[in-house]
Amino acid sequence: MNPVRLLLRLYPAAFRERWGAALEADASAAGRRSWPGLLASAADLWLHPVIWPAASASQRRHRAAAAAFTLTLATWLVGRAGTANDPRLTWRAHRALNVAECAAFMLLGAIMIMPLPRPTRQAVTALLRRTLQALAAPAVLLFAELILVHFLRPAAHSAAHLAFTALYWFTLALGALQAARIVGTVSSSAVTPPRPARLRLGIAVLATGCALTAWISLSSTVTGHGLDAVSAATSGGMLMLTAWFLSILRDVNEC
Amino acid sequence: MQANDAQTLVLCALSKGPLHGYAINAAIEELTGSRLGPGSLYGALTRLEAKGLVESLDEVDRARPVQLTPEGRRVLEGELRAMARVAAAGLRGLGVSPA
Repeated sequence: MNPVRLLLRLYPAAFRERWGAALEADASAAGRRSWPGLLASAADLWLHPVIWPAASASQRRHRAAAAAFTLTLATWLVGRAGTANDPRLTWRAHRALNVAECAAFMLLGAIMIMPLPRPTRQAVTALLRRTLQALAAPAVLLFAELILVHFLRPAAHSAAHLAFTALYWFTLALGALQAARIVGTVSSSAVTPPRPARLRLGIAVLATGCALTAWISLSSTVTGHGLDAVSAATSGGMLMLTAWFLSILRDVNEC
Repeated sequence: MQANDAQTLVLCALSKGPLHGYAINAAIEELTGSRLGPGSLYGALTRLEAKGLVESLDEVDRARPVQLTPEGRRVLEGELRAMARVAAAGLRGLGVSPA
């Protein structure tokens, strides 16, 4: 396949529909020196879903809500990894806040940004059906794992324990991915996106919660035994997610 | 925005009237001596459209020209006036009269 066409496939569909033909013609004329720029531009667009070509302001708000919800789930996964590595993060021993309290704060933000089902029977039924279809696989996996752990009781350092741990994280990641897909792909006939003020406030709450979690995690990075690599990675991940939340908030304010 | 910012250059190129992507880049080359990469050009157009500063017209010969919106004209004028003030102050400081 033509390399320019391959690079174009990396762009979001909404962008390709609007500018794809013109971009392909210009990039083919510019030759291979345009390829790094095409790659960078595609990555930049994926970081800013709010600016993609849209039919209405409400579609942009829906995209912002879906992106912020996806980041919230990513924050939850990173935070879960951090607390699994260092359970002290959920204590309040020497801190004014702990990770669990930040998670509750972020839950408030997630509720604020969530698109609301339209008050019709059809819309609620469609949303429920979509949710059940998307979450069936992770729910079955989780249930199967619980049963297996209950009956097999794998020893802490056995190969089975490693397999169960890997399956646990796979199930969490799959559940998060499917939940994000529900919010991102649900039809506008079934939900209404949040109003601008509620959306901005919700994203600001999420960014604050994520930044506070990063700060708490950062405080446990340096221990008496030296630098804790997992805590450092968790803090770095949380800081990147905070920056991403803030860039979505800026896009919402500008568009 | 800055003088060499892709979005400012695109707005400047559109100041004389509607153009399609290739013609915008040709106008930018005339203005600055170099073209924007296709990724930068269409990325800038996407951002400007999202901000409501440019709008698409109907397709002509498989190309869709874009034009400044009234808000785009207002923003461009403000940016250019601010740049002109900075340029004039800098040139005065250097003891050079503006060309």
